[in-house]
Amino acid sequence: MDSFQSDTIFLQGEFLSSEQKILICSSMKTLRDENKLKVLKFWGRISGIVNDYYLLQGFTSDCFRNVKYFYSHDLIDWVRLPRVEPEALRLLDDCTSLFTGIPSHVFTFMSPLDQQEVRLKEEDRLTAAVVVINNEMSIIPRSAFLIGSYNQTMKNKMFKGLPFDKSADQNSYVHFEDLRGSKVMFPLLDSTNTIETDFPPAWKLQHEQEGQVAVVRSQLWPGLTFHHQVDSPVYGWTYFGDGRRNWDICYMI
Amino acid sequence: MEAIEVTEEDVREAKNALDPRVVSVLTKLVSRLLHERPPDAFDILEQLVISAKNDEGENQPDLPPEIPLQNAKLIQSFYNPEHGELKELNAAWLDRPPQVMPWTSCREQLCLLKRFAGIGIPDETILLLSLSMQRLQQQHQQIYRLRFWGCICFKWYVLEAELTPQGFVSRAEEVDAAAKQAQALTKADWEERKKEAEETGKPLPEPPFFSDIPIEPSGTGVNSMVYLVSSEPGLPESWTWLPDLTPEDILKARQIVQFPEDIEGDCGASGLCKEVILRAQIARINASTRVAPQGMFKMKKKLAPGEEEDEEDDDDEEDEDEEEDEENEEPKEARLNARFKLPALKQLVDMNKWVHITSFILQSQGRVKWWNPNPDADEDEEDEEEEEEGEKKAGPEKSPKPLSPIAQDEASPHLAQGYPTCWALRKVSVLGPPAVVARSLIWPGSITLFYSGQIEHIYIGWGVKTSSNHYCPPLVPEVAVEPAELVLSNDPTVEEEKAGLAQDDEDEEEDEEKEDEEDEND
Repeated sequence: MDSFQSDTIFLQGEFLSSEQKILICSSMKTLRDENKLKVLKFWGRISGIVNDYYLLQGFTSDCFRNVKYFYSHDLIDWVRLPRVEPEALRLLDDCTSLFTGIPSHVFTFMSPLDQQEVRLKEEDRLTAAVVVINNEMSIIPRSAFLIGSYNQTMKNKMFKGLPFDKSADQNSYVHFEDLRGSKVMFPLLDSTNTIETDFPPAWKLQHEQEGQVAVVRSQLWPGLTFHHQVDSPVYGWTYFGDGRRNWDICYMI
Repeated sequence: MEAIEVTEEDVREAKNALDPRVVSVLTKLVSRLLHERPPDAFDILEQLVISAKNDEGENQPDLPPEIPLQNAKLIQSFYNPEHGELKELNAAWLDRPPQVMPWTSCREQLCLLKRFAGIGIPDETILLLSLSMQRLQQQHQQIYRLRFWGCICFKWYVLEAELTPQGFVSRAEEVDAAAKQAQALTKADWEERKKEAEETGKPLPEPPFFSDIPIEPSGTGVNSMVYLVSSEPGLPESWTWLPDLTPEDILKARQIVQFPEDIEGDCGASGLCKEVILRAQIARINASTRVAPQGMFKMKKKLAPGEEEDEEDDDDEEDEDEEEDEENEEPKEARLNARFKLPALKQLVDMNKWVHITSFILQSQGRVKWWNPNPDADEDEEDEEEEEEGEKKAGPEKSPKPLSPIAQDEASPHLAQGYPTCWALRKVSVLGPPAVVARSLIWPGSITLFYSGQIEHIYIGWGVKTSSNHYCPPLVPEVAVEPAELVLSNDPTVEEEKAGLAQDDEDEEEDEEKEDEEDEND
């Protein structure tokens, strides 16, 4: 059972209704076959003014390279997101208006770096936002992933879940990144790139359901939620937000 | 796939470098595989490792998750009321009219929101909330109706309580008395400090400032409902009552940007504590985001709880002008319209067909109803005085008409390029029931669900307003470059300066004479 179906083990704002879940499950099957993907995961939703974007993330063989993203407004027709443009990545944080929901919309805004008005297409901005959130904010419980003997990042089948006391510690949640080629013997196990060392310290960790579920929420990208059922290998994260970084974070925490 | 070669040296190195427990588990595993030779060794490899670990005494039995003792006792007490007090309360409860049961209303509300709008609240939390609400209503007789308002910062569960008229009156008196006491204390404290300062010669402390704008009494305006908050929804004792708001509180809270969760003690210069800030955010959210389809609510005379509606009132209210409303002191509220026809789905998705059902909080006063600071403004003398002092006569700030459509809400163009609205309306499903969700873009987390004549509103979010103008401290200007040719010269002496000034004066006089000649010629 994919983690998005076990959503009501912790408190969330808007999430998926039962109909939406069914549509996503059925779309995932067809998309996986068409694109020959190994794993297809529900990534989240970026809300816009007129329409919302529901996003799926697909992996072929590698967790970090050639990751494909698909978006849809109505969970029936899915479109593959284009490759991320370096220009869009650069301009992403300067564009502070909400997503409109129309992929062909063009944002015009003042870029302080270029000191002139720039234009950015919404689809490019969407890809950039998804990639940035994914790279900066993917977290996993410590020892949930390993680097296997053939130098691939793989799930740890022996991961039984964090015990309660470890799950209350911010040090047990590690950023998911490509650490192959690291000189450390077990990089993902001993990683020091945890949420505790992040700046700004915008992660909120709390336990819900009588301590059964550890929930980690980000205040830098409001809407990003990671959950982990204590003492079990169930964990996952989604993003339900408006796709903008919270730039006022330094005044808010 | 490359085969990895292992030499004897590697094995020896491993025995020394690795954890001795790891070495013993591995030895056990390999020896078991070699002796027993299980046919499906690859499939059961994990099991073999676990059993090897078990022999080491590493694995502990899986214990069930621990429920805190208080919650366990609470849940048991609901079902086993052996205590005398609870037994009586439960017996009296059965006689109460069914429509004020918070139990059913809470579950209905949340299950509806969960099913159609996809609001993620765990079932256990819904149960605990309903139980707590029931217990609260049993214990506090002044609560007429309870509703689950929402959750702020995913930590504080908020309940909205409508009190009986007597409840509101006694609460208003309490608030008044407390405010007067606080004022007296502040004044006394100031006078003490003033005396001290006079004796020791230090600068006098500033006199305390008490705003003229009166607080809206409990049951009206901003304070029309009372709120309870708790971080443990299952424990009725943990619910704290939030205080009523003064207009100043709202004006100050508007300037605070922090997450309500991260405020510690008094919030900086504003001096507002966490509870007041929470209450202020709740008030602002209510004022901005309570909406319903047009026609579902009508502005009618406010009824006391339990009072029955007079059917003759229906026709009169539609024709009143705005001016009459202002003069008419009768408090009005939006009440369900019995003759509401379910609109078509097409209309429901149109923003012009949704209206606000609560009044806005005024920008300048922090109240819902304008309070006139100059009640005798008609006299001419006062007008003249004010004009002499240079003050502008403050006209009443007009808030938008009640039941104004949400399409009129305009977001800043910076925030919403191209589509300057504050609302996002979505159909819940493509083929299924005609339900629509209205989501606020300004207060993210505020959701209103309309389904077949029922309307449910909830707020689950961080308790902060969206902004697009992020404050950035101004950049330091670039370092100025020194001039290319730096000319050094001597400092003029006093005589040289005087001579220079005298020369300047002569030049000025000549210029003036020239101008006068030109003017004469013209």
